[in-house]
Amino acid sequence: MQAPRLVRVAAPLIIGALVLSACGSKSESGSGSGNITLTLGVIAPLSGDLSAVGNGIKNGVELAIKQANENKTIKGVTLKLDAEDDTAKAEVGAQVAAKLVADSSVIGVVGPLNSSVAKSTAPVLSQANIASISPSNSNVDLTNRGVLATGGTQTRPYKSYFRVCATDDIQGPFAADYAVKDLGKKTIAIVHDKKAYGQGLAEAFAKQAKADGATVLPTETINPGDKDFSAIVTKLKAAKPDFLFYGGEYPEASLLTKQMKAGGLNIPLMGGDGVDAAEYIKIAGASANGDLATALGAPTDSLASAKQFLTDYKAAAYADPADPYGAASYDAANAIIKALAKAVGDGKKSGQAVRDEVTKEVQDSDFEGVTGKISFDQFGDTNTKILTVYSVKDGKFVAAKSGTFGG
Amino acid sequence: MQTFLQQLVNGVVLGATYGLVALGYTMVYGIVQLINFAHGEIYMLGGFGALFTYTVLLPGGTPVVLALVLMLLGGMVVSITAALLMERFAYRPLRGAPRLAPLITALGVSIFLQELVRNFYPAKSPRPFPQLVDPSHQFSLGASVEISAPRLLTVVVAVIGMVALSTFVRRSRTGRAMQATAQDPDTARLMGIDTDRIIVTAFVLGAALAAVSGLASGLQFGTVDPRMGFLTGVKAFTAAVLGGIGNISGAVLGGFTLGIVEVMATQYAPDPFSGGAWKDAWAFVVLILVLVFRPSGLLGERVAARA
Amino acid sequence: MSVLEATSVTKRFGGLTAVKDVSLVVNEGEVVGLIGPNGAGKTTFFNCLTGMETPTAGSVLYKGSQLPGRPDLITKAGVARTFQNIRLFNNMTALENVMVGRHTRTKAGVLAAVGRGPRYHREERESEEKARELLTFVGLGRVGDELAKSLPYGDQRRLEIARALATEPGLLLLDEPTAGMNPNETAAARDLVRAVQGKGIAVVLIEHDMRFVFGLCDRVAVLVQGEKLLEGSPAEVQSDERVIAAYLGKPTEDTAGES
Repeated sequence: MQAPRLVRVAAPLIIGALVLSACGSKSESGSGSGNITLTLGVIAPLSGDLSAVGNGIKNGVELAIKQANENKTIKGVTLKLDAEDDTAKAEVGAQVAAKLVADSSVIGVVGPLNSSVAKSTAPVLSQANIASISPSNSNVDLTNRGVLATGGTQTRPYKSYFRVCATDDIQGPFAADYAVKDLGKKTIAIVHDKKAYGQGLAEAFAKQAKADGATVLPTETINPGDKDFSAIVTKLKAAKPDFLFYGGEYPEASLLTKQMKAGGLNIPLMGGDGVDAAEYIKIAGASANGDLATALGAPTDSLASAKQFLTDYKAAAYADPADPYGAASYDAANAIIKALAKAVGDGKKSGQAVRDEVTKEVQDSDFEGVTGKISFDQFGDTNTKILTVYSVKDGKFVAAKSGTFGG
Repeated sequence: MQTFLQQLVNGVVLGATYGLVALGYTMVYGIVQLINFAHGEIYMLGGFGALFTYTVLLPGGTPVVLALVLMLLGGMVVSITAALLMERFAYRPLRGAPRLAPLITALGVSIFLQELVRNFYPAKSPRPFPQLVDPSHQFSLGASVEISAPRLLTVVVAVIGMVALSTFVRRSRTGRAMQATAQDPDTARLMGIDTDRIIVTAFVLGAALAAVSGLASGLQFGTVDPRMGFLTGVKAFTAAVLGGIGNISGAVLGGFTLGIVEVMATQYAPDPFSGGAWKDAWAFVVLILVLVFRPSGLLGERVAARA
Repeated sequence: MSVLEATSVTKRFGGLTAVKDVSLVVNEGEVVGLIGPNGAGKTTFFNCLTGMETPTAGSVLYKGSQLPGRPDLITKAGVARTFQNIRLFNNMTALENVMVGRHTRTKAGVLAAVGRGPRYHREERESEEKARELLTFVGLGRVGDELAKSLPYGDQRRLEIARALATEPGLLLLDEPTAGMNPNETAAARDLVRAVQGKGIAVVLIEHDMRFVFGLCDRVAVLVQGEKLLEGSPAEVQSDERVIAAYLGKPTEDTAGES
């Protein structure tokens, strides 16, 4: 395990170091003026199907930066935003992560949205020891939580990777408990899109649903981008399920639920946070009624702590909504801003020293964010693992139940 | 049995779209030996053109049938315009260039059109498409085998489009000129045929059928999105090759074959190779088998006899 | 009045001059033979007349006016041709082949066909009738619905002529119309060319069968190495020693003297 990883890290590390040393002198000369500019990066899909969600992330971070600059939270430092579009693709993510690493003024990153993208950005950012905090990655592999299920010992794969959200191993079981225990569903169909997020979520759901005593049908899979699911609907219909869990995102989920209901399979579809989007209902229309989605954290507008955030967000008049991850991104950005303030206070203002110090301080974060308490365990996972089930009523996602799941 | 029949219906619906789009690939290939990879985007533009017509141009309360006709016309205008422009400015200058040049250009045009639409309709793709034909209206085809209204419409318009095209090509003056140009462009010119115009005609007809398909797809799924052309384009191209590229009946046969193979693979393929994720793999297994035993496709003889 | 007036037509391919300064006049109703050894530039000359090649120099007048530079427009103007290697549309029927030839003489476009108006139907019907007449004219009246590729060789040559006639030409260029034919077929071809001539269409034909040429043509031009060696009546050409020399390939004084 060690050797290949060494090889994998070596090349970018050398390149990164070269670029860093080249740029380092530049920013040092700039720091003589008394007020230096440092950069907080964002990696998120800013174009394409997920751009509404990605822009929510970017906006949350932008808001935090604006407030930090206005309040002079970090003495002698002006913070600026560098939002990079990962187009929801892993390979693009790796490229933009390398770009941020190469910019010596970047001291931390918020994002990315997708777990599959994080798997290619986290190694790059961790090699440069740049703290990255994702508002939404729920895949277990990113913090090696997967081993917990099999009783193994968890080790941290990416030393500067953090996240402020719960994980699939919790989101899936949380959803399963709700479906089986609260709703009393007995025969459950599982469909996923084979992406890291969708498959992880669906597998965790299936495992817990079985443990709760439900019958789980053989898993069906689809391709992202597919539109015609009539064949799957017909196949599932024959098995007479009373519930369907979908691991994936809304563009496919919305078409699936519509075609299910048009095809006479009138059962609720439940998904993870990837389904929890206004577009889901817009596309699925009336077919979405009764469908469910879990989301990480509690609904932003149900939190007293988030009132000010929502007011500020609204005042900034962003085109895309804050939900689902604007508030979490705001918290993630603030974790980095607070860490940077401490690092700068300690006299670490540039180069690798500030990156190292920020990562160290993020690890020690402990404050009340707008989504709840922000603190991390030794693997980079949040200690606050709140989830909420939403159900569609009259064309809106309405919170049905919030809570934490055992782990 | 019920399940089988229902799946057969599903396959025919899926195949109708593939076939209709495949016609555009096969016509253009038959005449200029160009694999116009941007044809999938023409289909996508048809859907967006129809959506634009509905949301921007049509006043509220337009009767449904009239709205559908106007949306189809709007979609066709957009598709055909794009096809004309790409033929004139991207492909015609490369006529006679090595085959690779127009092929790469086609890929470039495809990406260009996708991004163009993305920029017109930013951020919120896929776009909801008006449900003018009620998807919950089901037609029964006997023992609990059903087809919803928009799906039936998809099949009906596809079949009309296919029959109309094949009649046109076989029975009309321009159609004969297309066949002649496909078989021997130089001689066709010496028979007084303006082959440039025939090539343009092939692009236009392909675009018109793709627009029909784009509208049908919007009505069927209730969404259109900029990337919808890619997957459908790949499948339609596969259908065209399966049926014998250059052959019009072949494209239709290939489309339906591919659609039916996909749904049957979803239903009946043995574990662990079953389900929606494997349907494409099975579709390509069938493609490879066909090409092994009939290298020019199911009905490819006519093209092979060329030159 | 002359149907064709080609003046100093020259065609160079890089360093090679395939046709050099060739002039040829064809009068109404005439059958003119074009002979010469292989590689003399006869087919290239035809290509220059039909727009398949653009002449490097020289001019070509058809019925007194300059021919346009595009093959389709030249056909429309009234010049039609057949090919040395038969180039039929193999996967279309004989009738369809002839109907393609009528392309420039009909009008209905895509919209008319889609609308299927009365004009479209009338035009299609007329077009088919004319095509059938032409098939009968060349002696293929009964094979109209067979695929071109399934016809015997001689029939394919005749079908090519029918297709060329369908363009309603004033001048027909035949490139080796009897190549590969047996004596019976050759005789039929001769009759056919005479019949075409009878319709008032001027004919220029490239041919290697000297009996065919000298028995049929009003005038014969000889091309050697891209240049016109001479032009005259069959009798004049037949007796010219340079022609004999060019054809026999060894211009010895003895043989020339004996003839």
